[in-house]
Amino acid sequence: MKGGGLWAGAVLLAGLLLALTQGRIHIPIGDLAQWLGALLQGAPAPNEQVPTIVLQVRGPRALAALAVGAALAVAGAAFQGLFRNPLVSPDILGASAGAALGAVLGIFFSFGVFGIQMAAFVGGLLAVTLVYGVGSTVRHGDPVLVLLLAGIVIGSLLGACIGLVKVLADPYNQLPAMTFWLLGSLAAAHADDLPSLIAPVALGTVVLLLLRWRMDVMSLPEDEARSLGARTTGLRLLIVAAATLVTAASVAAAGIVGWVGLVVPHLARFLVGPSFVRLLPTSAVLGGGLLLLIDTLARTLAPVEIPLGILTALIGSPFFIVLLRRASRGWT
Amino acid sequence: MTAPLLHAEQLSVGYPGRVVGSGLSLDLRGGEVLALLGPNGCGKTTLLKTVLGLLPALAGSVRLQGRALADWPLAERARVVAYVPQGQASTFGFSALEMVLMGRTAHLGLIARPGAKDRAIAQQALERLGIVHLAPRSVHEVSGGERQLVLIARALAQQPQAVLLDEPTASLDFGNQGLVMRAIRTLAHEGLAVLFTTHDPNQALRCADRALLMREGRVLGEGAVGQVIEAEGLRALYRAGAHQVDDVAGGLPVFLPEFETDQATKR
Amino acid sequence: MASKTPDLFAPRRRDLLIAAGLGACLPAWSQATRSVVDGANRRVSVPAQVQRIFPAGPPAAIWIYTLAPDALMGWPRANRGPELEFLLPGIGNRPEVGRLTGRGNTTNLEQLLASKPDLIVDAGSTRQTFVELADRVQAQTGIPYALLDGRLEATAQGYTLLGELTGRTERAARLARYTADTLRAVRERVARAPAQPRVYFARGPHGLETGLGGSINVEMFEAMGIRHVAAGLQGGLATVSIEQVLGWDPEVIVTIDQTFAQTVHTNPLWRGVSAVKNGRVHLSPKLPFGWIDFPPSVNRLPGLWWLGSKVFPALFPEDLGAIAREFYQLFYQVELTPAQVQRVLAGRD
Repeated sequence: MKGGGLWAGAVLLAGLLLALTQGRIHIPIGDLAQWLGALLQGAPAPNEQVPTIVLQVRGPRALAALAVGAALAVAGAAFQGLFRNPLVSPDILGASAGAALGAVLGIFFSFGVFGIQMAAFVGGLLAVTLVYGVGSTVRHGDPVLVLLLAGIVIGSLLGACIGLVKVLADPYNQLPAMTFWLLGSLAAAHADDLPSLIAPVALGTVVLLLLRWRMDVMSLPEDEARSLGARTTGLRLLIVAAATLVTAASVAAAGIVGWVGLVVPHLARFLVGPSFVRLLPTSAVLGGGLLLLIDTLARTLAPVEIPLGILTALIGSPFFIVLLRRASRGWT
Repeated sequence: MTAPLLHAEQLSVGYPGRVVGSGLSLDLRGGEVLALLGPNGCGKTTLLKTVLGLLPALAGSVRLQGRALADWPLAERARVVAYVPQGQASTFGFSALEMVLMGRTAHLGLIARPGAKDRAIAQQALERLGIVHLAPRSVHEVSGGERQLVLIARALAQQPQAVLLDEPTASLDFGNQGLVMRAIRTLAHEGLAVLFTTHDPNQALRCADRALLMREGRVLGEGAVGQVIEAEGLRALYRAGAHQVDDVAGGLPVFLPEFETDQATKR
Repeated sequence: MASKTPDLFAPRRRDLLIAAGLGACLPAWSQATRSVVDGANRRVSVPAQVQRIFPAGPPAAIWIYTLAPDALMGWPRANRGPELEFLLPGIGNRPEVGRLTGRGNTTNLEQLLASKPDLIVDAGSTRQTFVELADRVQAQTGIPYALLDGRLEATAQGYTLLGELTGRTERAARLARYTADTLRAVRERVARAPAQPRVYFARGPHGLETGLGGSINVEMFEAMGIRHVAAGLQGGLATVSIEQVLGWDPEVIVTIDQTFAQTVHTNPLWRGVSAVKNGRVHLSPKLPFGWIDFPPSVNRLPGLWWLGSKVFPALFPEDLGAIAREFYQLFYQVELTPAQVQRVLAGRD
């Protein structure tokens, strides 16, 4: 599609604009302009609420949404290439399940806020390490298929552990906290949390962007890729590590937000074609913009927060059905 | 006679716990086309993959340019030997040019992307095979034969000295078969060493210079195609009758499977 | 005459034997069952002597503990160290028995049967689902199962009923009186308030979880007549954004979360909220059981005074320490030292 990348950029800009202006507290554009003017002149803001809302509340939340959306989209695209399967999402290797278990355990043992986030991050990394370890012990068979199966099995096991913790949790206090966490939300996004989100996301995304041409080669069958000279085992490890890093960081920050990693790469593929050289950057931009839009909806549709994971599922599934119908010609 | 580019000695091939073939030896030289001919399941694909280094040999040795295959780093090996698999559809609909560009992998660093020079080489490969017009088209939208040609072009973009093809005309229609076989002969003319597997003796006869006949993992015959591909040999190879038709334009005989019916005499 | 072997079935002996047999059965019969109507209008037959009561959930456990602690067989969740300090020794540390009903059943029915309770008590909703559950368990186990209406308003009647069930009518009357007096007094005062400040109930470490209108979490607020900012929306628990809180701009914040209470004053996001600006963020006591919110049982009674004093300081001048001492002595049957009173009121673990 001609100029497909520009569409992604447009979505991002629209998302950013809406995120900063919409919300429970009405900030007229006039006030916003006034504040920007005062800022440039170095004068204090006429309406003190404006900088608080924009800089402390909506700004960090928008940045978090951008980071999480971009991370999940890029990880999803990378995994779809790695597993040669367009129906794969970043959760496939158990990163989300592991992060969820970490967070739920953190809530169960009453860690502080930062502790819960760390537990989630570490949980995600450990889960994928486990899956990779299990997968490597199987010598025969297509290594990708083995990884996939190990991921499904371990993911299921982790899900059972999460269920167990929920049963043991105090139903009045801990259980609601766990439920809210598992449904995904950016309501508590805070400027202080941003570095621990953006650093791993930036690192992982940069690695994936650098490797994006090789991902084209990695999406070929194993024998072909190796005969072309690609060191598939090492590359696979690198790609999985980078994608897991960004996924674990995202889940630790926002809870389980599904469908973004699955649907956005498809949308991006529709815009710029299947080659990862264009697909990966487009996915990042599109994913960030879309999640920003959805998060703005999550906090403005009702007086209470609609969990992000629910909205992405409600919006993502019909989208995906539409994509399925178009994509009968093989995911071009 | 020049030293062979690829030399396999007393190979045992197969998978851990399962030997598919043994006592297999072959030589491959530049400018020469070698056909691995045999019935389905005889182990020719396994042999091909072992010689490529995609499968570890269970016994015996493979030497590339005199060096043991195992000593070759993957990228270096890919700059000398190229593989053309059977053209099953890839998951994603890359364009023909993008697919051919992937042949440059072994020549590029880890984070490098193809540049102008690589694009020129890819373009050249497409031209050599007469498929430049396919460059922007998705590989999902071209015919089976054209897709196979794209894969051969990708192999050429590796700038190899040898090209190994696995059943290059499997599931191709009549016209496409001709396309591909012509391309194979062109490659040999340009000095590349070519090896392909096939189960069709006519293909081996018309397209290759030498043939290795395999059955149930063992070599039944090896030598110039004119000598090893004849009715008796084919009978032993396929355990089925072969009907030889001579007086064909081009001078080479054609072999048809023999089937006995009472109606045969009616014609 | 040679001695005859006594013939047990000779007519006169037979009558005597029958009489003796009936006499032996008599105690069992006379352990007569009483029939009581429970909080869900069910007729429950309880034995005359109720020595062992099984709590179906945390609210019921607290009810039973306050009225008949010796009869309490165990706790749905074992009490931890800090909590045991404020409970009767030997009772507070009774074993964990799981939850029979409500959110997440974990009691093993066979274990329940093996422990032979005289009565199962459940306190909470009396809706059809729970009535059916009660009937089902009763039919399955043969143990009488009584439901109490767990609403705050129904607390006094609940005590009367529980007193009838357990035979501790005198004590039940005392507790019921205290309850009714408290509710009445608190409501009267709130009704006299000239103005209602905006109150926000913050849950969770970020303070962004809250109870919507009609939820059990804010039952106390509504029972007292205090206006909660989220009361306009009906529902259970929900998360809100900080923007929404800023929009509501509560004048008083009440929380149960230690982390939130500690960090709210230094958090730039909350600085603009009136309650934070005026230092009206209050952490509720929670030892041994929370004073507000959960478990939704009689432990909330002192919370009524506490909440009143935080929202309407002028109308509730009473010394919270004295109230705590009185309540804990009467209901929890422990004497609080001054140091303990301070610890309880501070709201920390």
